[in-house]
Amino acid sequence: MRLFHKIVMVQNANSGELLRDTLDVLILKTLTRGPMHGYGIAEFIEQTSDDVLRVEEGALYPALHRLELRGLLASKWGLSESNRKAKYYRLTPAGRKQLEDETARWGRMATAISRILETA
Amino acid sequence: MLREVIRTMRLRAKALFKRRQLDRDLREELNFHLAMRQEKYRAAGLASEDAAMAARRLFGNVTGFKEACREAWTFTWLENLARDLRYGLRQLRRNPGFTVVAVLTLALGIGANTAIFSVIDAVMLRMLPVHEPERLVQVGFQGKHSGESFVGESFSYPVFKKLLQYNSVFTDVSAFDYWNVLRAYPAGSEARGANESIKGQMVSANFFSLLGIKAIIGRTFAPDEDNGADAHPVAVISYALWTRMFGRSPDVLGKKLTIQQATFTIIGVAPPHFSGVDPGRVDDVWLPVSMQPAALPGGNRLEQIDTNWLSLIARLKPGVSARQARASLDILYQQIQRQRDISKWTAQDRRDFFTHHIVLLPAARGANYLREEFSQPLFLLMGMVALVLIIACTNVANLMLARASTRQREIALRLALGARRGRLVRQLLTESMLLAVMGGAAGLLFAYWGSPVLVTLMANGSGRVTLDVHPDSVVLGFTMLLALGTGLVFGLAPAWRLTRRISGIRADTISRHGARERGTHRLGRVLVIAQVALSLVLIVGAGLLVRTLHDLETLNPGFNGDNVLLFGLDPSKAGYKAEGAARIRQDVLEQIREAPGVVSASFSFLTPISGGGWDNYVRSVEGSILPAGESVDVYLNGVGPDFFRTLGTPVLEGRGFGPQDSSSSPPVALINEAMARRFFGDRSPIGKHFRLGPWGGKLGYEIIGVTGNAKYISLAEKIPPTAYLYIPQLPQVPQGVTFEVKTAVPPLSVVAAVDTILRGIDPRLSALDVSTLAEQVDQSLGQEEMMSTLSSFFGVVALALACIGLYGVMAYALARRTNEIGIRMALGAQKKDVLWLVMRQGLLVTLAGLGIGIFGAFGGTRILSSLLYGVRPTDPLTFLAASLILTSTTLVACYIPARRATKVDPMVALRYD
Repeated sequence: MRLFHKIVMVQNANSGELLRDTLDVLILKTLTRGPMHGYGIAEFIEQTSDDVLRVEEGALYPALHRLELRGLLASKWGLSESNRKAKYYRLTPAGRKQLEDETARWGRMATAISRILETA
Repeated sequence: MLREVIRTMRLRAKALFKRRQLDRDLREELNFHLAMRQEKYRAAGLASEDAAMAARRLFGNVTGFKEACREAWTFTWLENLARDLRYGLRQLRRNPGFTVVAVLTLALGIGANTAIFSVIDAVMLRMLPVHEPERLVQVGFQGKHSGESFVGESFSYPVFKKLLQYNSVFTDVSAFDYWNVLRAYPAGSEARGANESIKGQMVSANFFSLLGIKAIIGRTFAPDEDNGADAHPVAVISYALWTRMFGRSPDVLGKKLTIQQATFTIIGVAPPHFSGVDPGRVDDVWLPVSMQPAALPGGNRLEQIDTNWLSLIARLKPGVSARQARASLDILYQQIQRQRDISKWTAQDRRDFFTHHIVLLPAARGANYLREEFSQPLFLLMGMVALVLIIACTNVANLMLARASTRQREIALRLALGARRGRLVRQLLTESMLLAVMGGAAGLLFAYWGSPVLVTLMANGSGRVTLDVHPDSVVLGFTMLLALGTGLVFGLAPAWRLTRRISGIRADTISRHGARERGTHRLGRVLVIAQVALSLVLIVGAGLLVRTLHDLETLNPGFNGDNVLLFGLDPSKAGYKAEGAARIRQDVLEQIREAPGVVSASFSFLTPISGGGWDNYVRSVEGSILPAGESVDVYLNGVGPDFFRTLGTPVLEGRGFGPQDSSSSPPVALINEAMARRFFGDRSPIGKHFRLGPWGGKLGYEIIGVTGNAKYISLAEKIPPTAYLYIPQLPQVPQGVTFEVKTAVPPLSVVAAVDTILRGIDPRLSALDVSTLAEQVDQSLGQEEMMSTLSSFFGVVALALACIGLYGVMAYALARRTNEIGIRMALGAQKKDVLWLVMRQGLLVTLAGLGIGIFGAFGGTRILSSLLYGVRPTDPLTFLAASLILTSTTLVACYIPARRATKVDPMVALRYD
C-alpha cells in the first residue's frame, strides 16, 4: 500500500493554513527551475516527491492566482511543448525573497520538530 | 508591505472591471490542464473517451474551484458589504418606527455635539487664514496688580512703538485695538440712524503685511501710514462689506466713510474670509492706529504711555523660538519700563510695576480673549452633550436589543446553518452603522441650525460675539468620526451578545420563553440604570446653573435698574471743548428733567455693570485704620447731580452732591459702605480727606457721604470699595458721559423726547448707544443665561431619553411576562397587585440609577464651581429637587406599561405564545 498524501485547498481556514502555506512554498520552489505552466508544476511536484504528494487542481489554481495577486509570481501566455496556448508562471524577485524566508522558516521548524521527536 | 497592498488593490480593481476576460483566461488555463492530463492518460493506453472521463473525474468540482480562483481576484468583502448594506436597509425599512426613533435620538445626540464642537472649533481650534499662522504670537505681560497676579494683554502706543523699533526677535510687531468697536457710516448716511453702522478697528500700518494679507483690489496700508496723529484718513474694508454695501464694484476705491467727525477714504478691500485676528469679532473696516484721536473720543492716546489699549501680535523671525523671543523681548521691555518716570508713584505701585514680565501667547488661532472667556463654559457644555450622546447611544442599544430578541430565531437558524459568527456580527454592525450615519447626517442638520443659536446665546443679543461657525472639514470629520464611533458603541454590544448566546443551541429550542433571554433583559436594565444615573448628573448640573442665574437676577445689586433709560452724549463730537461741554450737559439734564414721564435724571462716566471700570490707588487717608504706606485699589466713578436718587442707591450717612458743590468749591466725594468699612472700620468717615495717586496727586477729596454698596463691574463680584467723584469738579475728564433717566413710563418711550431736546439744544448732538439699565444688567448675565438655558435643555433631553429607555425596557419585559400575568390574574391577583408587580421593577431600576447618579453628581458638579454664584456644587436642595423630578418622570414612564398590564385578559394571555 502506498502512502498517499493529498494537498487540498480547504475552505476552513483553521485546518487549511498549514497545507496552504506548504503548497505555496512548493510552487515557489518549483518555479526556481524556470517559468512553468500549472500542469507542469503539478506534474513536477508529484514526480519529485515520488508521487507522495499529489496536487489537486482545485488547490493548485487558486494558490497560483493568490500568489500572482500578492506579486510573488508573474504570468504570461505562451506556447507549450505540444504547441498549445498555456499560461506560464515565473518567480518575481519578491517571490524569490519569500521562498528564501519560507525555506529558512521551514528549516527551523523541521529542526525543532525533529528535535522533539528524537527525544525519548 | 504597503507596496504589496497597493499592487493587490490595483490588480483587484482591474479584475473588477475586466471580469469577463478574467473568466475567459481562467477557462483557457483549465482547459489546457485538462487537455494535457487527457494526453497523459491516452499515452498510458486509455481509450480517448475514458481518458477524458478520468481526467475530468480527477479534476473534481470545476465550478467550485473556479469560484475559489475568482474569489482570490475580486473584492469579496466589498460585495459582502454591499449585500449587508442592502439587507440592513431592508431591515430598517421594515421597522420604520424603530428606525425613526433611533435616527432622531442619534441625531439629537450627535447634533448637539456637533453644534458645540463647531463653536469650539471656531473659537479655539481654527487657524487664522493668514500666512504661516503658527509663527504668530500675541505679546502680553504677567505681573502683580494690587498684590494679585494677572496677565495683561494691552500696551500703550509709545511702548508698542519701542517694542517694534528695538526688538530683534520678530520680523514685525503689529498693534490693534481690541477693546473699542468703532462705528462707521457711509459718508452722508449718518442721519439715517445707527442701523447702517459698520464695525471697525484701529490697527498699525503693518497689520496686513505682518499677517501676509494682500488687498484683492486697491492696497493695504503703506508702512508710514500710521505716522503722525490724524495724518492719514484712509481705510481698508472687508470683502463682506464690499459685497454687502458696494456690490463688489471696483469703484469702491476712493469712497468715503464717516467715523466720529472724521471722513476716511477707502483704499483697499481685504480678501474673503479675512475678518481680523480675533475669532470672536468680525470687523469690516480697518483704520490706521494713528487716527485714534479722530476716531475715538477721549483725547489723544498716542502720547500717553500709561493708557494701555493696544493688543500686540508679532511674527517670530525664522529660527527664533518663542522661548528665545520671550527672553529677549523681556529685557527690552524692562529697559523701556525703567525709562519711565515713576517718581511720583507709591511704593506699592512701583513694586507691582517691576513684577511685570513679557509673556508670549501662541496666536496661530487668533487673539485669545474669546477663548479665555468661553473656553471653560464651552468645554463644560461639550461634557454635557457627551453625556447626552452616551444616553442616546444607550437608548439605541436598548432598542436594538429589544428588536434583536425578536430576531433570535432568524439568527439562531443562520448560525445553525453554518453562518460564521463574525459574519453575523458584521452584518448586525452594518445595520447599526447605517443608523449611525443617518443619525449623523440628521445631526449635522441640527447643528447647522443650532450653532448660530448657540452663538446668539453667547453674544446675548449684544452683537459683540460674531463667530463664523460654518461646518468646515474639521467639523464634518468630527461628526463623521462621532457617528461611526457611536454606531460601534451601540451596535457592538447587542450584536456580540446576540450571536454569542445562541451559538451552539439548536434553533428549535429557542422560544419566546427561553431562559436564554434573561441575559438580554438584564443588559437592558443595566443600560437604563446608567441612563438614569447620567440624567441625574445632568439635571443636577442644570439645576445648579439655573439657581445661579436666578440668584444673580434676583439679588439686590444696590441700585434699581427698572425704568432707567441710558444714552451716551459726547459734546466733543459736535465740536465743544471742556467748558462748553459742561454747559451742554447741564442744559440737557435740566430739560430732560422737565420732560413728561421723567422722574429724575443724571449722568456719569460709567454706568453699573457696563463691564467698564476706572480704578486708582487711594492713599493718605485721614484717620484711616490701615497701616501707613499701604495703598488700596479703589473703584471710581464720576457722577452728576441726582445720580444716587436716579439709580436708587441710598445715601446712608451724610449728604449727596448738591448745588453747593461746584468747580470752584473744594473737591468732595461719596464713598460706599465697603470703602468706609475698609478704611474707617466702625468710625464715621464724614469730613475726612483722601488722595488719589499717583496722578490725582495734589488734589484731596473730602468725604461728604456714605452710600449703600452697589455692584460695579459684574453682578457676581464681591462689591469693591468704591468712591464717587463729582463730574463738575473733575477738570481733566473725557467729555463723553452716559445719561441715566428714571421714568414713570416705559423708558424707551421717552427716547423721542430726548432726541427732540438734544436737537433743540444743538442739531449736531445725538444720543449714542441708547439702551436701558435693565437691558445692560441682563446682558452682563449672558454667559450664565447661556449655561442655564443650554444645560436645562440638555437635562430635559437626557430625562426624556431616559424615560423612553425605561418605557421601552418595561414594555418589553411586560410583553414577555404577559403569560405570567395572565396566570397570576387567573389565580386571583388583583389589578393593584399586578400594577405593583410591574411598577416595582421600574422603581428598582430608577432607584439604582438614582443612587449611582447622586454619587456621580457629587463628584462631578465640582467642576462647575467657578461658574456658580450663591449656591454650592453639592447644594442638597438642588440634589433633592433633581431626584424628585427624575423619580416622578420615570414613574410615569413605568406607569403607562404597568396600567396596560392590568388590562390583560387572562384568557388571551394564557393562549399567548
